[in-house]
Amino acid sequence: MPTDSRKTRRILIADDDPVIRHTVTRFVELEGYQPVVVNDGGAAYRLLKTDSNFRGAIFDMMMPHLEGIEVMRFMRTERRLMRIPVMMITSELDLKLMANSFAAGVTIFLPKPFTTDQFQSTFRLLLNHQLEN
Amino acid sequence: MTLTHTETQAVDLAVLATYDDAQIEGEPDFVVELLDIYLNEVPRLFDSIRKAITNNEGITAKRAAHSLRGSSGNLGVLQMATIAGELEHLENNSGASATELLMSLENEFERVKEILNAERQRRSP
Repeated sequence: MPTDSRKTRRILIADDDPVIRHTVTRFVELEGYQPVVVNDGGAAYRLLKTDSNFRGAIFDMMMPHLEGIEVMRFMRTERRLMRIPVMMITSELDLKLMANSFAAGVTIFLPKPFTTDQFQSTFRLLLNHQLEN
Repeated sequence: MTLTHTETQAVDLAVLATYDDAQIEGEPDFVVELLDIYLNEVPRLFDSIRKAITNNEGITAKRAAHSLRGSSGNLGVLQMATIAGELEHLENNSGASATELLMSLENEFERVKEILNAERQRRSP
């Protein structure tokens, strides 16, 4: 049975860049949520195989082992994970790539570099999206 | 081939100052934490790029340059972000141009380290 992801305050963060990872972790904490942090897409995939108790997920688009988009595609095929909204952090503002990513199920993009305010707005939109569905 | 970059500011300290909004009272200085992570991470990325060039592994060099561009940009380390972006988007990420850009990055990092260490010292004497 799928977990009701609206009740949890856990946010999955996967990024191989330690500076961005530390930044996003703090920003998520400041929003009152509990970050669950892994270092790459492979670790996110392994965690999601057994744990679906997340209110949202934040992935870097380009990670070793498994790209953010591949982890997200896996999530969209699993009933227990498909309602979890996904924010993709990217430094590539390629419109075709973004269109393909939205089609694959990305909820929202956060372009790098980003400020505290930009993260906060995007994060709130991410979580609102889930409540509307 | 000689590569040229448009000269930009080494570090925009105003960008770093925006992270003061994320400071939690009673916790260590958040900006100092970010600077420490960055100053440790950059030599590791240089090493990764250097090895990738030696072993002709373009994709590894591209990934490391991508990571360097992202973290530099987010901390306002502007010129490093620009050069890392040039390296990331080279057609051949492990060729002669990549070697030249890596040298530019290493030279720039010497300048950046002085600025960031001074900022670190100011915040955490």
